[in-house]
Amino acid sequence: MITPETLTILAFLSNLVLIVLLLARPSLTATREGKILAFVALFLFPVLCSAIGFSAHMERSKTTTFCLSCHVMEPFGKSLDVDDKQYIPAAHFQNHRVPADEACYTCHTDYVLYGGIRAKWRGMRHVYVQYLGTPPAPADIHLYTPYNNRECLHCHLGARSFEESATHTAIRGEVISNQVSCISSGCHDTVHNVANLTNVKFWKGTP
Amino acid sequence: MNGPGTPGSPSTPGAPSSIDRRVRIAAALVGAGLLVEIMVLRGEHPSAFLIFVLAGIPLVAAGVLVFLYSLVSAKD
Repeated sequence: MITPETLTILAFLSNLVLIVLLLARPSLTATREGKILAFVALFLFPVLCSAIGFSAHMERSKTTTFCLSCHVMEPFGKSLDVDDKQYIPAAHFQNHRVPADEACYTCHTDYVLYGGIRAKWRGMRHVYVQYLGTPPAPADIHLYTPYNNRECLHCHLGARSFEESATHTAIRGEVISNQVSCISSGCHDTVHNVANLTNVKFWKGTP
Repeated sequence: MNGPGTPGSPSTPGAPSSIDRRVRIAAALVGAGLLVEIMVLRGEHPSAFLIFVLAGIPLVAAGVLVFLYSLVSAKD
């Protein structure tokens, strides 16, 4: 089965073969066919390959592995394995309420037009801090803006478990208008809680 | 029909024409860029993305620009 990744690598390799040919015999461009070859090898294919590669990187930047590949994010990854359903990220991750391979992105993107681009831009800021700044200690990492209920309601609004809850019904308007945060004290207030991971039990995962 | 400055034709026998030279430079730049890109294509770390964007894409872009320049600068 040929995967998109295999096709991408094949496109890169065929482009490289054409380039080697042009490097060895640049005089090929004297003929009409040679000019077409040069246009394909030095313009069309490279632009296409770079665009495909860029898109592949953009897609990969959504993966949990990608987010957790930075050392400073390790405790946040660990918090997904906490054996306590009060831990909101852990409960979502372990029960596949979010795709396990895109867990961070699913909750930390903005569900609005161009929200994905905004999330990627924030990611670039993280990369900048990681390489050119001083990354804070994991416990000192906070969101740039308070967590928006919109991200929770993107999935939960209309779901039976949400709609049938008496608490949710009582404050439905406030929750939807973001006046009362889903993660406010007394509600779903245990999130990553990375400062206290030493005293918790961890789920060992599926056998 | 190939005179000096015509794509692929040497101005003096045996010497590469300016367009040949530019095509070679363009091919070398695009090739280097694609090699960088393919090496980090499967990388799962932000550094792979940075190398792709800060080294691979500029090399490819420079090669493409040199190639386009060789086209517009070629004398008919």
